[in-house]
Amino acid sequence: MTKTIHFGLSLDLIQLDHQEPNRNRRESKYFWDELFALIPAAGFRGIELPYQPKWDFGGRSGIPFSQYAIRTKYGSVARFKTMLEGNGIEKIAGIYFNPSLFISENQDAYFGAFGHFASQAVQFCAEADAGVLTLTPTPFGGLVRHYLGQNTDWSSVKTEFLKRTADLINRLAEQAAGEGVVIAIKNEYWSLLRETGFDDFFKHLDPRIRLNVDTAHAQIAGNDPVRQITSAADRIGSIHFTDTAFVDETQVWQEKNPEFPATAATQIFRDLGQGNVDLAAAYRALQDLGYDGWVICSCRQTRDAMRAMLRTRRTVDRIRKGENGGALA
Amino acid sequence: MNNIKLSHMSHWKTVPYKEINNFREFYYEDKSNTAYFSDWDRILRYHAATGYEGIEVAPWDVADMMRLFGSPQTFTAFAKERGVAVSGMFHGAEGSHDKSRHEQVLANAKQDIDTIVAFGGQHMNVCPTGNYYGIGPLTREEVKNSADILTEVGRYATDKGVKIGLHNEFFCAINKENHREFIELTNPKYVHYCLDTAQIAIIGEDMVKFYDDYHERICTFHLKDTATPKLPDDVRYGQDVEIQDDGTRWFWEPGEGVLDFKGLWQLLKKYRFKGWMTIETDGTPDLLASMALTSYYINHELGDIYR
Repeated sequence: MTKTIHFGLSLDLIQLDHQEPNRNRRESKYFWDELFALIPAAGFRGIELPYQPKWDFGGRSGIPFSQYAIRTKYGSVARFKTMLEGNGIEKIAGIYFNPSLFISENQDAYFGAFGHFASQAVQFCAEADAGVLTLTPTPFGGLVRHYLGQNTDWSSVKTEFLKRTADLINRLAEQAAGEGVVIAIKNEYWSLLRETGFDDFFKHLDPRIRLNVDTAHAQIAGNDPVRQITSAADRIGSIHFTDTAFVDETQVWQEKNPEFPATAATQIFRDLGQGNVDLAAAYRALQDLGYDGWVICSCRQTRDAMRAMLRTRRTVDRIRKGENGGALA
Repeated sequence: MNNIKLSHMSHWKTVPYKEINNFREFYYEDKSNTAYFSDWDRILRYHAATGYEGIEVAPWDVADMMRLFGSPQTFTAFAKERGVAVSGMFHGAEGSHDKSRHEQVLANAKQDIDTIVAFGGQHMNVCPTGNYYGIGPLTREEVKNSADILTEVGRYATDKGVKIGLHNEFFCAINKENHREFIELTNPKYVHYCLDTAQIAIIGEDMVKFYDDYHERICTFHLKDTATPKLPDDVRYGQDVEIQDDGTRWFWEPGEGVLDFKGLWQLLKKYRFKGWMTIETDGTPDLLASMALTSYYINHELGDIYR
């Protein structure tokens, strides 16, 4: 039987965190109602939802990125899914959660909020039948050091921080197993784990935890995305196809905000096909492994969401036709 | 020198850069306008260019600002170099109606007052408590609880040289039926009022009359227009009503709605108002355009009455 790789679209392409003309419309439900009709028009039948409780705090429940928001606007996750299906989106193919919002000098508050909302995200993932929750394990390493590493023994603080992180993720794995959800840990170029070793951290995790491979993160960190896919093989839990042209020549990964390098502004993550990640080679590597899950396409720093959606479609079509990798622009 | 100094309420969300030095190169990466809205350097310059001498900081932005600037004082110095001062900061006194939460309410407020002092600001504009949906209607005792703790907050602020200004929201649990009672229950020596012109009109007050009645308490403004005054209770008291599903806007630039700003300006002249007036353009599709539009209206349509 032929194995099929399905391409889904991450809704992280709707930029909410920064101001720009017309951003306001993204807080209202009508924007999303139209978006959910346009996504299938661009050829995507599956989506990944970023789980962002941040918007609940300000009553922005028009943004469908949390259990609260979806229950407020659609009544239930089941009704939300029915609405998606009515538009031609057949599958919520993954949920993504990043606890960085909660980092501060107060570790207890951070782990409390991380645990609470990640647990909620697992529940949501189960309700949505999304299958996999991709999780950012730590905030930017430089940011953790900024808050917790001043005038202290950073090495022991870091060890304790990572131990608490692993304990929390293992508790989530237990919950997730009970709810039929797989947790995949994201290996990011700016992670605190880059200082200490991702593989070493992974050894301390529940064996049910899987890996997320993110092609741009891998490339920026100096790892070949193809090799990362091949070596992860049967431990792969989720895949993010992301693109970049960024080369970290000045150790930006150690900064407080490496997504926005302080010395020279740049768009770290390009729309798919606009950078130089060899996505076609990554696709072939997945085919060679017999991977038949979802590949989530992410354009998290796009300057134009609708354009990014079509650029992504074009890139996916070219990859599927077997056109060569490299920049696809 | 004008009696009215214009400030602008910051709704720029997370500004990712302090200063972009490779502006042209950044622009050419994807030839979009992102470069124009991504650093404090340019955003502050827009303030100065469009006639705003001040910025009112949003408390939800402070953590991100501190990551870029290190301290409020550093931000203030950076803004001053571009001709802008910090006029104050907004604050939400969530839970003030509940006596059991007063210790935390006071601690949170003190922390924000100290932050405003560090920014060199003068005003802390305070939403009295949570939203009507969820906690309303409040009992008279709960209204009094809120007034009592805000008087305590005001006492601390006054000692620090900061004026707290009660700031009505049309969806707040302090609303039409208890708004004036609430103001009267606070101590006028310590608690002032920030008149949000659109919010008060949406609640159902006549904005100009309200200013006439309370001008002695009103220390500053959130100036904005609305095209939908006197919203019915069932809309104001609904869940998450600030952002409407169909994109209906509650707030417009002064002159683009229906409020009588010329009437207000006559009263500003009569009572010789002097101080910061914050323009708030939340809900706009284009902050920069709204800043310029408002500035033009105030200078050219209202300036002959009073400035």
